[in-house]
Amino acid sequence: MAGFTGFGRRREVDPRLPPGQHLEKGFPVLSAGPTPNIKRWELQIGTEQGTRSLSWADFQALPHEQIETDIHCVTSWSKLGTHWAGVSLDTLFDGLDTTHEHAMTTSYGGYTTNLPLSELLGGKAWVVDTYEGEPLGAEHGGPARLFVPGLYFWKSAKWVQGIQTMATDRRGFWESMGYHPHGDPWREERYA
Amino acid sequence: MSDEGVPALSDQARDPFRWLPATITAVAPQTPTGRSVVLDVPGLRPARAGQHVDLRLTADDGYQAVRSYSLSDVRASAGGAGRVPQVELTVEELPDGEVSPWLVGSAEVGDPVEVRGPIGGWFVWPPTEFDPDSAVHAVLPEPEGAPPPGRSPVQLIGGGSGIAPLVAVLRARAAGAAGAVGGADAPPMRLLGSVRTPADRWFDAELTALAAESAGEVRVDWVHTREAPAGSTRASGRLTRDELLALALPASDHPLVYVCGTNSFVESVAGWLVDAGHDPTRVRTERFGGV
Repeated sequence: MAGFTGFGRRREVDPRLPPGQHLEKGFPVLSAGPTPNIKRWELQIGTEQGTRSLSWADFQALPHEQIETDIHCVTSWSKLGTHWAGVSLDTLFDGLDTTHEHAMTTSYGGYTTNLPLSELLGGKAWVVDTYEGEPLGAEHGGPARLFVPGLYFWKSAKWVQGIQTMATDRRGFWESMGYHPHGDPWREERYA
Repeated sequence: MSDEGVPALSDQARDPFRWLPATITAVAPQTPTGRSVVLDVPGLRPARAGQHVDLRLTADDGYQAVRSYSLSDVRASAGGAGRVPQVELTVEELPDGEVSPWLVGSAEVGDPVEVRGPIGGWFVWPPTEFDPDSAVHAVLPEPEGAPPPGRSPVQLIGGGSGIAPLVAVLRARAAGAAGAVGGADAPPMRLLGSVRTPADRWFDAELTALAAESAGEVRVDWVHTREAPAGSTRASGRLTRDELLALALPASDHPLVYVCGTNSFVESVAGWLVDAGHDPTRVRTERFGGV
């Protein structure tokens, strides 16, 4: 559509931005409800082989990786070059074999999001507890959130409580509220 | 519509989230820094109160910018009777914004834009009825003793232009939205709006009239953060916890609560509500921030 309304360019265009995204310097918050009050943190990692429960101390004792990457929110903002630290899901799932191809993430507060296991393993996903060198704030998902920077950011479930593999795919909370079951920003898989 | 008597699949039926050409058909100042903008959007699916749309602008050189805006009126979104679907956005100009300065300062009737949506299935009224087999239902149980969501009293709490989707809810209620829960059977609703000055009250006259015509079923309260109205017993200042709890429906009424505004506003309000005993799953939030 030709522009003839006097609207002019006001932002830089950057090849690191997926289609339809714009640069954001702040860090907007997208949550469906109140920030949960987490009294006792525990992380549960489950497959058909069993469930592993990690206390905060257990989690802290696992090797943390430093991650520098861009993040992309479905509401069309992106942040470039953000820094995070957390535990790879390859580490969290180590020794828990599965034939499942899907996973459901559950968060404190009750919200869920579904992901293909292929997006969670192979160095693509972490549970992070540090953002820009500081403990992750509660409104951004702290003390720990899932971090899957290859997908739109709602897949990086805040306040993560559990990750359970499943034999067949089901939609989580956000996905049953109109968001795309997959969420690849480079394909603009925003809504469905 | 084709001429052969067989309705063609609308473009949006083939891809509900494709970009639709839209035309600005009215603009109206609402506050010193905000405007409502009415759009004709042929082919739009009917919208629900509380939903938002993505709006895309294209510059002469082909550069495009996309932002999300809450709908402040969805009553004409289904079109019909020879009218194309129509929605109203309410936009606050952000000083460092890219799209909002154009919408508030430059946009004129007849200007073309593009619209994608409507979007959102949670921050909506009438509330989403859960599929009993879905994961959502399993993890967000209704509290015991609470009326069904569609019959629950509703508390709307908005900061600044966060009022926009809440106004859509009040208008939908007045119009008898969705059969059983609208019209005479509509649940009571309260709106608590936090604005800077009396001149910043969005849709002030209409909301006052709407409350007056509701036989006491709708109440609208304003708090002013920077300048109180003449004769007010409340000094200007931010909404406090005690004021919120005095003005909002109590947790014992099991209201559905919709909170919209900046992140800091929503974070404060939602936290106070949960501390006061409101069920977190009945407090639905929409936050904005960034430009």
